[in-house]
Amino acid sequence: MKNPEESLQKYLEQLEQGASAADSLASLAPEEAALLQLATNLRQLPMPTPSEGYAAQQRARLLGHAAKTLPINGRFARWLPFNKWKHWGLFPALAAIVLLAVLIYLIFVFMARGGFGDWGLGTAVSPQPILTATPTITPTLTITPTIPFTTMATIAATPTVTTTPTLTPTLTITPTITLTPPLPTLPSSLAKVTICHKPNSKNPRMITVDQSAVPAHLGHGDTVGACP
Amino acid sequence: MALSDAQLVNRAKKGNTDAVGDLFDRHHRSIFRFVWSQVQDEQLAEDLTSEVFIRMVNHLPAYRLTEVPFRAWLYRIARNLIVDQHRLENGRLPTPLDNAKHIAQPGQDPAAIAENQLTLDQIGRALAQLEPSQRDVIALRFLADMSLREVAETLEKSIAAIKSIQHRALATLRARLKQDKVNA
Repeated sequence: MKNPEESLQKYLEQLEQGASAADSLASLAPEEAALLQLATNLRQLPMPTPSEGYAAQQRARLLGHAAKTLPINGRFARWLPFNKWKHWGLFPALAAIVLLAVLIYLIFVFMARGGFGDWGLGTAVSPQPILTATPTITPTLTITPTIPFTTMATIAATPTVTTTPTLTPTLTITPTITLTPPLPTLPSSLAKVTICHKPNSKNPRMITVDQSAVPAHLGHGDTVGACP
Repeated sequence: MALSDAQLVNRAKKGNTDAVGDLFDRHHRSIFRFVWSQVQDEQLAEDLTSEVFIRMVNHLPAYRLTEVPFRAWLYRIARNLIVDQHRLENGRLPTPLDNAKHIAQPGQDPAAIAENQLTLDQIGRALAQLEPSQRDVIALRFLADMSLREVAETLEKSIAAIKSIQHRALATLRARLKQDKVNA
């Protein structure tokens, strides 16, 4: 015997496809035919409909709600950020994340610079001394008189140094400055030679002559150096 | 050429409110009939039908056509709403119509109604005595004109299960109607 559920469904489908109800009912057992007749009657039953004006009123209400709820309509709508009202809820979350990141960064920087060290909440870092030299050291070398030899000079300076906090630094200027000036030409004043001039072997007197004239003076009996 | 439900849904999901209006025009009467069959109160059925479409718009962005056909999805919304309504009424089953009335559509032969002896009043009373799953199947299958597959998708049951429920529901409904006539 065929399954009555399958049989009923088969005849229902035949009716749905336009078959004659009378033919279907005639080929069924009385009990099944009664169920098929009931199903047919249910489908033909005049059902209540929404009241007049309901559709127009609710349609307008629905469209208003849809305009507020659904995404912005338009060709480029997909490119518009946060075009759905509910996505605005993301803004506070994003803002909170950004603020938290900034806060963590500031705390990190604050702690790295000593932070709450004074209250024992962190490790204090030794402050870097700030050196201020007064005046600005510009060593100069002055040699008087100019001397015809290589000058070796070691410059040591004791500048005034202000530090924060107060420190007592030792300032050493390195390297030793070595200056090699060009050999100077001896001035004429330094080329003079003192001789004891004896013009006639009488009345010798001390004179100063140019070095180039010394040989001539020595030739007529003068002597180098002061007269005895 | 009329657009399919799927095409209208895709447009509505992109924010086309006209598509939402078309979906309402296409389905609100059958949804109303289904809701009425469950609550047997026309005013309440209107309110719940409106709420069904409001919920449809609310959930449309998350709805995926590939998961369940639109019509089945819409009826699921309606069914869930009716379940919520019954919970609000402390689980009380819908009451039969208080004011029995024979409704004849314009052009319909009153003699045919009399012959079938089937009225909304009788149907309301008989449906109220069915189990919820049987009432769902009767309402969806014969009042909302759904196919067996659509009913199965809406109620999230197998087709075989729906066939079985359909048969038992019709048999129970017939027995209730006979009993109602005897009592009358």
